[in-house]
Amino acid sequence: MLEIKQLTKRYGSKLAVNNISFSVKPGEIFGFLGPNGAGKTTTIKMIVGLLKPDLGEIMINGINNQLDPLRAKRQFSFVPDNSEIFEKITGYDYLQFICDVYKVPATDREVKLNSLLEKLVLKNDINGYISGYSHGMKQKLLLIGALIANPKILILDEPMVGLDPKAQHTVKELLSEHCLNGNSVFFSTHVLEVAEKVCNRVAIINKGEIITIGSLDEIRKKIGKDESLENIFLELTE
Amino acid sequence: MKEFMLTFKLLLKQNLSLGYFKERIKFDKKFRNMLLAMIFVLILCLPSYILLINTVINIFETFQTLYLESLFIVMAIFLSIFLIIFFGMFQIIAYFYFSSDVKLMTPLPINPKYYLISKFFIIYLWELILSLFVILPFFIVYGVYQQLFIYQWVGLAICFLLIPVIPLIIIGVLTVLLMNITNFVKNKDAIRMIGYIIMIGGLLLFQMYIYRNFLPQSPEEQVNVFEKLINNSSYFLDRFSVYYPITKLIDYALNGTALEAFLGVFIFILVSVIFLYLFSLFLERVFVKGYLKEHANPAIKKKKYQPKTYKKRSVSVAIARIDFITLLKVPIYAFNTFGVILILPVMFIIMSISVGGNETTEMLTSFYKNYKIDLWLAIILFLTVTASMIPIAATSFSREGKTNWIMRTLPISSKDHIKGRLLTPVITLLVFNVIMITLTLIFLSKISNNISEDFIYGAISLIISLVLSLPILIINLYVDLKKPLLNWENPQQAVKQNLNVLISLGVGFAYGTILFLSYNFVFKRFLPYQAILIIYFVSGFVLAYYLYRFIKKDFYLNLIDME
Ligand SMILES: Nc1ncnc2c1ncn2[C@@H]1O[C@H](COP(=O)(O)OP(=O)(O)O)[C@@H](O)[C@H]1O
Ligand SMILES: [Mg+2]
Repeated sequence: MLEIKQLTKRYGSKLAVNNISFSVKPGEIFGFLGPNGAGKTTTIKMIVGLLKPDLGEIMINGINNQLDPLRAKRQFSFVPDNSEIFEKITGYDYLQFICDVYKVPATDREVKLNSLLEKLVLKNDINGYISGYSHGMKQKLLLIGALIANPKILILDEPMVGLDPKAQHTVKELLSEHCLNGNSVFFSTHVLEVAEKVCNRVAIINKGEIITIGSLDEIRKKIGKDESLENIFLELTE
Repeated sequence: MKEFMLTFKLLLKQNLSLGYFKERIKFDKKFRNMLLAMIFVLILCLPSYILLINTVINIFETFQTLYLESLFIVMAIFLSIFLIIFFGMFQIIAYFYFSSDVKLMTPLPINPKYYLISKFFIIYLWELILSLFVILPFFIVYGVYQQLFIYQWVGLAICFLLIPVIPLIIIGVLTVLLMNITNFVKNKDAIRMIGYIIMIGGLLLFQMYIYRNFLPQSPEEQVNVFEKLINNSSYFLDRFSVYYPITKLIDYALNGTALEAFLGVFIFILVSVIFLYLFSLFLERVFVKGYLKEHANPAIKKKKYQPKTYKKRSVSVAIARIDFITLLKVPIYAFNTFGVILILPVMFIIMSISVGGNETTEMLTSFYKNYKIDLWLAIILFLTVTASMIPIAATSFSREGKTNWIMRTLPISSKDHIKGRLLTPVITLLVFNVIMITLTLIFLSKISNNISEDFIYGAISLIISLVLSLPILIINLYVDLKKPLLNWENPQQAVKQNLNVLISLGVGFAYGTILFLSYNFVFKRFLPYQAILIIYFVSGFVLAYYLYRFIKKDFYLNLIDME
């Protein structure tokens, strides 16, 4: 579904992402786990077309995102970590815009939007201007926008940050739901607990390099039985 | 004084930091390319500038034969006040109200008046740079032809520097009062926009009124004035000083004896300083109070959820729609883009009102008859160049700021991107052109005897000017695609402190120059006007098409490589 080969990116002399490779399979939730500054956002930006890789190849659902960017973009939707949205329109306007861009059929729009708005408790604010939204509300709005597009792969950068526990729970459910029909989810997080609960597999990244890939059980086995996952994570990324 | 220098330096650094500039030149390749583009555009504008200087010289030579030298200086002062009304008021609104740093400075233990006055000085500097190009030629031509003495040259230089100060202060006071009065009304932004237009219109009308009163009306009066002119070379300066006493001081500085010149300059400086001091008190008392209230109660309205029917839109229309809403809702954007569109018609109406009298009408009728084609082509040229003065296409990406990731990651084809982003400026221009041409036709109905033919000319001009504007808009879009200003905190940076806006202005004038030169020195001589119109129409179209192809080709590469 998503295939990264030998991806590298430098900022000046700083190597932010160093020759990383991994792939996300259909129907799987893939966690991209690492401490602050590990290179997660940089990697995601290269995948979604906000940054040009120095080296390497990114295939999204079999489409090279540098050679055929438009078709590659049709395969995913993206939620960044900063939740910057157009401020002067209403949440409703934003969702309509997304539906227009992804050409969501009119019948789907109403039903799906209604259910998403209800689940994430945003219904009462959707006709208000986005400038009046809190950080969490913007995050939710972006998520609904990403889900309504029903993409092959959902790409999220730190999606849980800024959400209340109830919303976090709902998001986890929504992500699992999204994978039911063979779609995938790829998201980054610096919180081990989040990865543990929802991911089928994770890649742990530190200082721009991937340290290990696999299900958390596999990783646990590899390292040794006695230690808690927390310690493993701390050890791996020290 | 120390506090003033401190804040002034800070602001200066923010507005035109040389260190930052040097660093960018060294490390930023795109920035270097921008500068080269800028220089190239400036060179292209040179011919029109030379033409302008030439016109100034011609005016002076004509005036000289009629003993009208003093009127020439009055004209320069007039023009300078005009520029200040036109640009200064806007600058004051932008710098004092739409800039976030006032909010940051107010809690600091610095008396706000120092800070605000240094802000005023930044605006003054911009005004001065503008005058350097537009007003200074008048003074230099005057000085050279009148063979001024050294001390008069010094007086001239000081006067040039001081002339913008007092008008700018007056405009500043009026603006702050307008903003304070409208602080508590509903739809504050819309009311302010209207107030701003009315105020500019009123000031210009007042200026026109003075100017008309001031020129001799009847033949007897003309003879009378002529006699006075022969005896008194400062006649017009004298008369103008009734309305604007500073003119008398300028007169002394330029034409007086050494002592008179010294006194004139000295008093001018003194008066300016007093005005500045009073203005600083005004800012401290009135502005700060109003400004704090302004930000005290942000009105957040909540609307309840009501299910609506979903309306499907094409992607480009959806893009344009968001663009339009944002342009309307962010006051600084609205002022910067739609402001021009509202002000120019208002100015036109004022000018056409102030043209009057049977004699003038007759003169205009025969003029129109003889120069009909030239006039309509001038209108086309004017409307075309205006396209570069409305900074919508040139800030299409910049205005998105930190939300740029949205359009860049959505699956929008380059065609839809370009179409959607051009739709806003094209519609805006269409409205503007229709208004201007309608006003022109109304004006012509007074002096023309074949209005149905004029109507056809108007319709043709509308179409051709729109087609000719397309290449400008696409170039503007391209410049902003290449290097948008995305990392701003305050929307005014996107439209006011954006190099792309300046470049697009330059592109517009260069383009206008080419159109003018091609008409005046080539086409006019060999071709019938129908052929010229067709040539412009076709070449505008072909150019737009090829530019579109060009920008579309690397669109996605540029989109990825934006930051
Ligand atoms: N625009 C940039 N310019 C220079 N360095 C950057 C830039 N963006 C990120 N970096 C550096 O690249 C590294 C990886 O950053 P990032 O991908 O944002 O980490 P993460 O998202 O994992 O926290 C960090 O060391 C950061 O300082
Ligand atoms: Mg990050």
